[in-house]
Amino acid sequence: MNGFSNYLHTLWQVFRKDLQVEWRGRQGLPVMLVFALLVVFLFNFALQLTPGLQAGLAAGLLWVSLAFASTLGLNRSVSLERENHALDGLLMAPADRSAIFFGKTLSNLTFTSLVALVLLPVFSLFYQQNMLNPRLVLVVLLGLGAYTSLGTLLAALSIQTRTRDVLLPVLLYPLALPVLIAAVEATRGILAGQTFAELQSWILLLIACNILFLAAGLLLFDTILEE
Amino acid sequence: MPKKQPLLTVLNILSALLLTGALILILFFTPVEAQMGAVQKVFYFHVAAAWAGMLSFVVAAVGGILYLAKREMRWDWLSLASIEVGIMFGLAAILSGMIWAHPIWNTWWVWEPRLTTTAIMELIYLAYFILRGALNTPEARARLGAVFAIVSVITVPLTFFSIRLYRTIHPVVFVSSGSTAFTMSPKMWLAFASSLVAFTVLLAALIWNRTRLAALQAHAGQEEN
Amino acid sequence: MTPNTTSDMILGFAVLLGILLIYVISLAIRIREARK
Repeated sequence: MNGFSNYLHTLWQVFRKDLQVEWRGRQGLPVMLVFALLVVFLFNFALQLTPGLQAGLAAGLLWVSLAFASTLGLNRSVSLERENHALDGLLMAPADRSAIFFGKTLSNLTFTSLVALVLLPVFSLFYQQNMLNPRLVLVVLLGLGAYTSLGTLLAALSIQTRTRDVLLPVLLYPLALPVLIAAVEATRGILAGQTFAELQSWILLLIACNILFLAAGLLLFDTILEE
Repeated sequence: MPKKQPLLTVLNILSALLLTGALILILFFTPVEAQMGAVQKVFYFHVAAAWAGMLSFVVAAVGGILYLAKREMRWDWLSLASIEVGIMFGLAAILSGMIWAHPIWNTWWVWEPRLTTTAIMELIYLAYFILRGALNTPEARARLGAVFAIVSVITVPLTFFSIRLYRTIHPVVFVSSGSTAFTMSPKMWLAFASSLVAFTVLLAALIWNRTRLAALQAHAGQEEN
Repeated sequence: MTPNTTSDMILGFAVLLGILLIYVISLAIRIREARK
């Protein structure tokens, strides 16, 4: 069991370090939050949205804001390592490098979820939708889980290129489409009062995406980080 | 200098023959569909091209897996070749799909599942090339390209199902009253099957030729495309 | 009444086969360049 506890230890270390760095004033989270709110304002005027917003539009806007904010966070989380060569230290760790993947996915998920935690009441206020119900929160977590696991995987890839983090959206957005479609549709359904049973296709799709992307990270992260 | 294998020449000739044969079958021996007229015949090649595009994605992912397992450059060449060929088939499928349906839909584009998924695949193919272009060593290009190809192929069925599910909830209302659905007679099935076979063989031939090109370029010490 | 969409059909085939033909030609040219 020594190998496994090493693995969990590395995972936890990565996660904890990311949170600590943020707590000590790295400013990543405020940037994500402000950016998400700016996106909401931008779309509000660009699309001439009104307070009596239809459920579908509100759901779509929520997920666009979360996707953009999350991408910002993903880029920061990997560029940080590269700047400080902190990743090299982690690479020396005796555990399988996929522990780094899970640790980073968890920290990215945490930050994006915190942004969502602020966005949901804001949306409820701006667009007179009740976004504070637990079923919606669950869907948001599912969607963010799939999105951040795929994003962490691809961010590790893109950071090694000459164009660095600029490449991440190009790689991430086409691959993340099923996640976004399913997340928006499930959110829209919940806002329109549907039950989980009625939305089960979307929920199952989200769960499948989570499983597949986490598995991909488990199998491929080591290869991505090879030197 | 690697010699050209005779089997490749055979494959080239065979694909040309099959393609010509299928085309003759379609143009002269298949009935004209009543609702759409002659343009419906483009459908056979359009679907076959889309099929070839999807298949090349799978081949690219397999090449990626084999490269990561064996670390031999020829598997990377296979991946690269498949994706480049896939871009061509995808483009052919998208444009022919738009032309085929235009007389019926009275518009050039509709967000229907197959067309949309093929368009997204094209974007993923292009992202693959952008990724490779941004990497500095052949080893990095091969390794990270393989990872991206593998992750991408996972998303294709997910994308297709999510769009199809989306369409059942948000059906498209066509401006004109036409529909692109039609029933296929036995002769049509024959044309359809021949098109699929012809395009599959053509896919194999093109991928092999492109892989050979990559091998020749590596041998000559040239930079890859 | 079956509509006359023959010109559309010709366009469709021309575009599809044209793309493939251009690609084949580009392959042939590039292979010839690489063999020099």
